[in-house]
Amino acid sequence: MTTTGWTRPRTLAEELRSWDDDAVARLVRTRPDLAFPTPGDTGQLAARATTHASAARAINRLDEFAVDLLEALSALPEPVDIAALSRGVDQPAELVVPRVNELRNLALVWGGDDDLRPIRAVHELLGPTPAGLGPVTTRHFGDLDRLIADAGPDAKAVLDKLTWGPPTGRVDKADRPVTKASARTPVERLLARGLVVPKDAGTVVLPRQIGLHLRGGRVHASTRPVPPPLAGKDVSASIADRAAAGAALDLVRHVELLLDRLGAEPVPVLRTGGVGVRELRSLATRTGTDEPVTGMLLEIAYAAGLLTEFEAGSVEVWLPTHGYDDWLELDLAHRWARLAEAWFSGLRAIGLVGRRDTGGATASARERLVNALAPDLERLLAPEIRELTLQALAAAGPGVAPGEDAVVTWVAWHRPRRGGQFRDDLTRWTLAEAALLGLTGLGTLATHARALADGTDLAEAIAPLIPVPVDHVLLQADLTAVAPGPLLREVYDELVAMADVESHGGAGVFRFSEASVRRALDLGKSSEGLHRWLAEHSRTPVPQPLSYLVDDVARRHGVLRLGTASTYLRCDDEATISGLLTAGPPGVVFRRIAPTVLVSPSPPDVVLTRLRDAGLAPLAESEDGGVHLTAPARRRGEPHRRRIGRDLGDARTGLTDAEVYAVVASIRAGDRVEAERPDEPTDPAPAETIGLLGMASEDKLRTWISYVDHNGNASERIVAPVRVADGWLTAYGVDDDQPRTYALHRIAAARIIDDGPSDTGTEETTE
Amino acid sequence: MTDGPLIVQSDKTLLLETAHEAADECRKAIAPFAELERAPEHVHTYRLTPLGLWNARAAGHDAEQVIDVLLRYSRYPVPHSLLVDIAEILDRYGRLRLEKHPQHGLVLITTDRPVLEEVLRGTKVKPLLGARIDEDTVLVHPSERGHLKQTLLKLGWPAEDLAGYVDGEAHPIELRTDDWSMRPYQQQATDAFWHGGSGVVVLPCGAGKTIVGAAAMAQAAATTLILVTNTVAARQWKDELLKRTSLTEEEIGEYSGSRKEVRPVTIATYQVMTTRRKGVYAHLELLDARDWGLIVYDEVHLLPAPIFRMTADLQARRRLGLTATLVREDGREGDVFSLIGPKRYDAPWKDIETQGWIAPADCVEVRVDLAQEERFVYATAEPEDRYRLAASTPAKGRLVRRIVEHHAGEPLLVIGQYIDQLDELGEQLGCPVIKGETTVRERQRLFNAFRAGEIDKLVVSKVANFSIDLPEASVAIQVSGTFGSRQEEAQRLGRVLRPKQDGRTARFYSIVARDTVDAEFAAHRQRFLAEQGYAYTIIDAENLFA
Repeated sequence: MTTTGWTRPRTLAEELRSWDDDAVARLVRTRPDLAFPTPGDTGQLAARATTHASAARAINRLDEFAVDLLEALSALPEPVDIAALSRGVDQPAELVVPRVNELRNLALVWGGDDDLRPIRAVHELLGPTPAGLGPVTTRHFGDLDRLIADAGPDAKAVLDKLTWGPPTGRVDKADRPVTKASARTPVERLLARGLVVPKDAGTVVLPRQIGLHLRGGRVHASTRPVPPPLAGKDVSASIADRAAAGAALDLVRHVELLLDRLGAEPVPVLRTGGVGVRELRSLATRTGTDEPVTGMLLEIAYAAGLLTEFEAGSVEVWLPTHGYDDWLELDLAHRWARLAEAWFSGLRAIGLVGRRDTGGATASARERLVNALAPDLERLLAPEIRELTLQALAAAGPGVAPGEDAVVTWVAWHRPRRGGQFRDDLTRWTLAEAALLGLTGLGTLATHARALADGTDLAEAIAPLIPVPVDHVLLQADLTAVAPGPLLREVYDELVAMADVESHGGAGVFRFSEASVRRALDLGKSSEGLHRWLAEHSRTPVPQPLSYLVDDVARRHGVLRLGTASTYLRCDDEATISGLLTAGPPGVVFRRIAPTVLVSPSPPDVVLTRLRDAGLAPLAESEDGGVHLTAPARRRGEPHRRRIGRDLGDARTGLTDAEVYAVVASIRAGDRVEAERPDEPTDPAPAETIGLLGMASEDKLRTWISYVDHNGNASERIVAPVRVADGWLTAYGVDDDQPRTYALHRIAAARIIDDGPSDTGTEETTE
Repeated sequence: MTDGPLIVQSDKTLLLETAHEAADECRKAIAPFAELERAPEHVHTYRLTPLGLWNARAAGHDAEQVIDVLLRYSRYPVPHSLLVDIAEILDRYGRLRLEKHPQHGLVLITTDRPVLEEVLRGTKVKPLLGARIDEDTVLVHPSERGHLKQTLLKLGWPAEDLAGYVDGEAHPIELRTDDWSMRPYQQQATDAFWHGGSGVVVLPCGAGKTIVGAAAMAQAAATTLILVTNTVAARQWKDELLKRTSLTEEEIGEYSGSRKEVRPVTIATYQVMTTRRKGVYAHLELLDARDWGLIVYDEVHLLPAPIFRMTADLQARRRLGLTATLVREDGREGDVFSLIGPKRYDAPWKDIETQGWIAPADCVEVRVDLAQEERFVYATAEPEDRYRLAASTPAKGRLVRRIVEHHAGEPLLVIGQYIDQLDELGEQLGCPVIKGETTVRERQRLFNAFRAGEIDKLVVSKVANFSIDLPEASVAIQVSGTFGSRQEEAQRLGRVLRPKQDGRTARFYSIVARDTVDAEFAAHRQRFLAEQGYAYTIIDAENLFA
């Protein structure tokens, strides 16, 4: 990382310029937000990398120990070397050095091993009291131990209370003037020696130096440099895999049952979006699962694109998509893989269904229980925590089922700054969902689930555990048909047309009854057809009672016929009827339904006219009409563009190697151009302006800025900058009591005109 | 995938493919914890229920063993949630135990304190318990032993009863095995019962439950109270005991509607025990009349509900339940479990059949048509009359005569519900009719004559269904019957299920009027018989014997 014979870089940008291509590529890969839009040169790269937002993104993905290191770097007085840092986190240098290098590679820390500097954004993001230490004071102390002893044991006791944080204590009249001689109470003795300082009239604060001294140079009481252990039960890996496969098969089957049900009887979309509680309950009973599981199934189906809202006339309903039909064509292993992959990368926090959304947008949203498929359940944290949770399970090792709390702690260690309670909830929900999906069995990660992390084919991974579909059944005399395994879809469809499903699972049990056979005949099947199908698809001889049943129902079926017609014609003379059939009037279609009856779809007046024109004289009768037969509904809908409530522009994106190196190349090109530019101190590039303003605000240096307002008029002014953040400069004008804000992109140029700190009165601790 | 014979469904049914080579082995392995629900020829269906699993726990099987069996034989992956469910249910048994404490007497002890706390909070449990002895132990009122077990079962925390029994008054009883010997499964059943202390033995009709009862009595060698379904059954038990044991006439008493004899071995009927005079059970004192050492409940599946309450007070004595099925129409299987005891033996009835103890039967349903005029009357009749019209059509009588002619000389029963129809049939066939008004003595005379071969035809009404022993009927014809209750069918076929000396198959005809409610009820019957594994054919009357 460090090269010999170079001058110490004074800024992050200089340090980045000294990096080789691979190092820059690594930075862009690990902080992909820096690539969009492509930085023009290294200066821009550095500027962007040090912005509050970008740094926050990077820091929020750090694990606990890395955050502890940053806190220590922020808390310890400069310059910080490896030794001091190691002491600060109370870990040996061998553990600290590699992690510090990682932080350097992320451009969160720069400088040499003897002078480690976190970027400014780190201080801002970690706050003014890192690790519970107080603010920095510029007072110099001599022998602190002697000073503390001098204050007396009572005072030391007060100091002890403040040592490990918080550094503030309530004291009346904290700002009273006091000297060593006049000090009476322990607190006064401390104040007199400057061991505590007044923060305001009612509070004293322990200065950072004193705190660090009392902590013995340690910043944290204890740190965990490695992830917490994932102890758990031992389980048989092969049994766990099979249990997981069992759950996977159940999942696919339940999703099919659910979507078939919705295809036949779509469920209305609630006004507020999603599926209502009553509908969910009814769906749950139909599919034989409970409500929470049914909610999860709906969400997974939705994530996989199998389900959508559809406008049917004036109502909106939930329907399966055409994608569902395509999905049914896949074999079992692929069907499952599609669902598992969709769940894994989905943005919705499925676990919120049925609970209160404490992070909801409005107060009323936070009160209600969340409905399945409700809008605005997208949470960026969800896929991140899902991935981490599965990593935890993988880290536990094959055949080990870690306890739920252990997994939560492990995930929390990896993302301490993300989500808090919500992160922990997500972890627990992920464990439950993974069990339902068949990614875990008996609490341990199934072997096939590792494909999700590896990127290998998930369907192929689970295929050995998936039963081969069967194409036959065993027919029995009690009028049941047992399918000794999952049926091929075509065979299943034919069978349910004539029998009722009785039991689900690895096998299927179906029962024939008078009603079910009648249903098949209603669909247009013939009794010969049914006999033939049964004989072809049964591995056992067709039981006589079943053949008898089919014939018996067929005998009575269709004896009575029902249909509709617009017009009927009847005549006692069959010859007339036959004549009309063969040589009737033009433009009218007749059908004979009985020897003496014809019907036509044409309306009566038309038929009457045509018959009269043909020279016949029919008498009109008045009667009523009939009913419909319908085939089972199989409705479908097209998926919408999904509504996404929150701004998800920050979604994690994975960059390919080609993209990363393209960014690096662009940066290098910009650097070369800049190197050619002649020196013009009054016209620095905007990026360096920002850096300059940042430095000025930190050191309280007065600055000249050239500002362009929205009309395009340039003006100059001298300001005392206070803060640079999020694209705005906050600064006091010469005569201002209140600070003003200036848009950074309108600041054309800036120059520092002071050399020392501005005169702002007493020491202030930043809040 | 193991390619095993068993398929585990997510609704807790188990499907066993009988043709599989490992089917037998698997059946033995799952029998302790799975209830056989139906057994048509190719795939037998078992069901996992909490009670079934607790019966297994009582017999010493634990969750690991059960799950191991399921996984070993399962053809397809078993869903994890099911395994978790099973383990949870099994683990609930025995968290609470009833024991005899040396100082305090009957106590309830727990191995899992939170369970005890949960149970103590229930309002139903409090009145049955006494003082709290320590954190894990509570005193139990001895008279509430039975109620407590019932209540705990309903709460889902079945208690293991380890509190032992009083021996009762000793009385010598021995089996007299000079000219007969116990069949292996009967011996196994007796041993299993005795080892368990109290409980139920499940044997199919005709497998000789009486002998198991006698053997248990011989083991106990104590005064015994036997509860049976009716007087006929009482007489038959007495006959059997006289034949198989050392007991004499004077030692066996009958306590029924007509007699009230209390002797060392007393046979009482459920009827008399549930008789009430002025709202009070009149014969409860029988339960305390002697220091009974053994109580035998015959046909537990028919045990009337009030008996359960009376039984709750007999918990300190050994109790033996004998039955063909644990399934009750009123769903009180839980009461059987807690008040009589867990299942101690369940005979693999197919084995008993193949060993020759039970005859396989052919079931034939013959469809007759109503005459044109009859159809009109039927169509316009009130719903409550329809079944009678359909069931009593004369067409059936003609068919019965044809069948009787075809089976001439074979011992044959005709069974029906409507006395007019039965009387007419008796006249046409020239044979006696046994109906409700027939005296017990006349019944016994006719049964004996039938058994001896003096008469080869009998027409019997519904009343003749209960507890009759007719060893040699080889043909049964049913012309009418109530509403296809499974118990009914079990009883009727039981009469015909006897090993024939020449190994012939028994034949069961059921005559049904086509396109009427008769046919609807026949469908229930057909389903049940097929589920029991009987071959079943449906034929039109004109094609019979064609």
